[in-house]
Amino acid sequence: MKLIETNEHDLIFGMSAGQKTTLERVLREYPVLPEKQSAISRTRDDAELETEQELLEEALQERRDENRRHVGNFLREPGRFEVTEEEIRLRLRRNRVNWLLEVLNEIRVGHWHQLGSPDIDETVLTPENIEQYISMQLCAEFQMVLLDALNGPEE
Amino acid sequence: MKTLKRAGSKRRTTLAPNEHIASLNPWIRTTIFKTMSSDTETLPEIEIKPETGIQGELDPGYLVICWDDPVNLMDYVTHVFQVVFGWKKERAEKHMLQVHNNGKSILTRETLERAEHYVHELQKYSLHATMERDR
Repeated sequence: MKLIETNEHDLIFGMSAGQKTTLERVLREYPVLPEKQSAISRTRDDAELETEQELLEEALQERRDENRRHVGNFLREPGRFEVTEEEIRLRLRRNRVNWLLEVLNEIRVGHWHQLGSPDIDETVLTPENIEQYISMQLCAEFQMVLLDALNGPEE
Repeated sequence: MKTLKRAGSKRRTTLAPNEHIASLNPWIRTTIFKTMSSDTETLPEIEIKPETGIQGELDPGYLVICWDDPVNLMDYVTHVFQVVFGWKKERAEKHMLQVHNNGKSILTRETLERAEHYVHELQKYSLHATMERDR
């Protein structure tokens, strides 16, 4: 997948059929839920932040529900991917690129949590974890393309 | 953005009239009292509390900290800081490198509400961010 065109509002990516299938496959994994809740504080030693912790969990759950709907729409929307003679094109508004980055990252981080939060470079691959490891790496690949596209060419 | 509801919260959001004056800086307080004194020739019965006490109660100060993890991409962390705080790339990169090299970066010091807002935003992007009381 690569950026082929950009303007003030949109970024257009070109990809092969295999890359499109791969992107759809990783997005269908959303949400990959972490096994433990995110803490609002590391040094919380009283009940003062109890409400804040609840609000955080509520907010994250709300965001997940919203993203799940958006992912469904993203994958179902007719014309989302335009098939040309040379390649398959994906046109995204800039704010959608930001959203897609967020979703891909959440999938990646979710798998990482489920793998026991390992040091990625030292992960020992097994038949049980290889699928999750591959998903993580695929998400990272797509993320890098999107980040490079948002950042524009290096000066 | 989600509207935060705080059932049973005991935090005050408004000041009593006397506290409004007490919370002003000393020069303004003096000016007000002089003006009031010359107009009415009666000093108001106001007990001026130390500024630090009131300021401390209203704004305890929370640090928003981002912690290192081995999973978030460095460019992604920079991107999120830019989006959430509206920072230029250089500043976002500086904090990202602090996270990477030092294990954490203090991103901002805010009131509880603002700190909470930023932690929510950062965690929505799956960054490991927390708020810690600035003692």
